[in-house]
Amino acid sequence: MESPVSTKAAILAALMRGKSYGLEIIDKVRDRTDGTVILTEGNVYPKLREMERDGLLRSFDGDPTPERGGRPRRYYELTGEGRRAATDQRTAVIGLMDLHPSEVV
Amino acid sequence: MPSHRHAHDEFLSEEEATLLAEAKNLLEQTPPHKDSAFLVLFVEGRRILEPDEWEGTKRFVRDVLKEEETLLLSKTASQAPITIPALFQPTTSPSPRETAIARATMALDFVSMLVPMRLEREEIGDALERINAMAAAGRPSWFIYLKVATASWWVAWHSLIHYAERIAGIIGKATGGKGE
Repeated sequence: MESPVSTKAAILAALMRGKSYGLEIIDKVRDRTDGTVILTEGNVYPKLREMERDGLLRSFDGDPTPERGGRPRRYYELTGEGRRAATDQRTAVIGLMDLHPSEVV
Repeated sequence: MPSHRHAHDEFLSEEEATLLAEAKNLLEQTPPHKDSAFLVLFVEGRRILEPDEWEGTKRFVRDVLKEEETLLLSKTASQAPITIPALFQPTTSPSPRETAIARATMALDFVSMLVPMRLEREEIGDALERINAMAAAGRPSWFIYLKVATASWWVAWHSLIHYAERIAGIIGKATGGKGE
């Protein structure tokens, strides 16, 4: 089945509640959509870097962890522009689905 | 055993003496601990003992070790350089899942030498974190190997894109953005 939202829209939605890293974004999107939207390593990492270049996200390194072989996590968070894009997207989806904002969690 | 053995307990380091005492204690338990018997024999074999002391040691372990093992060890113990803690390392082989994690880590560490640092830290780090989570969740080994294969494929592909973009950027700068 074709995914109902784009990778970019899913990433914006996943980051609306705070910073996250690639693996966590993939899991958040899968869990919050009950598996309807599946991001993969193949599409999420290039899209994250593209969105960062476009000024929607900023990234920074976390602390290295042993389960990553001493590598740090790469965290992403929305910039002001990214937050505006995410809010616009949310409003558009609510309008499209003909929902009242109070019906949206 | 060589007949020139004499009692010199100072031959043992403090660590060796402690291990020897622990091993003797374990030997007295039921059932006796076979690894402890080896340790006693090894450590005692490296000491300089009176012949009757050495015979006592061999008698001490004979109930636990086979006769030929006792003879073999008593012949080699006084010559072989040994690391005492190594004798206490578990002799059981690692589980298939532990082997899979070790191989996965080695394979991804190898891939990480060939890719840009950002991809290495982000994508290979995430793949290793996922592999450890899969192992903790009891996933079979072939899941782990499949994950290594897919992660390596995507990292290689993203590296190609990364370098292609770098080259395109250099050409773009050189041609003033006209791409010619």
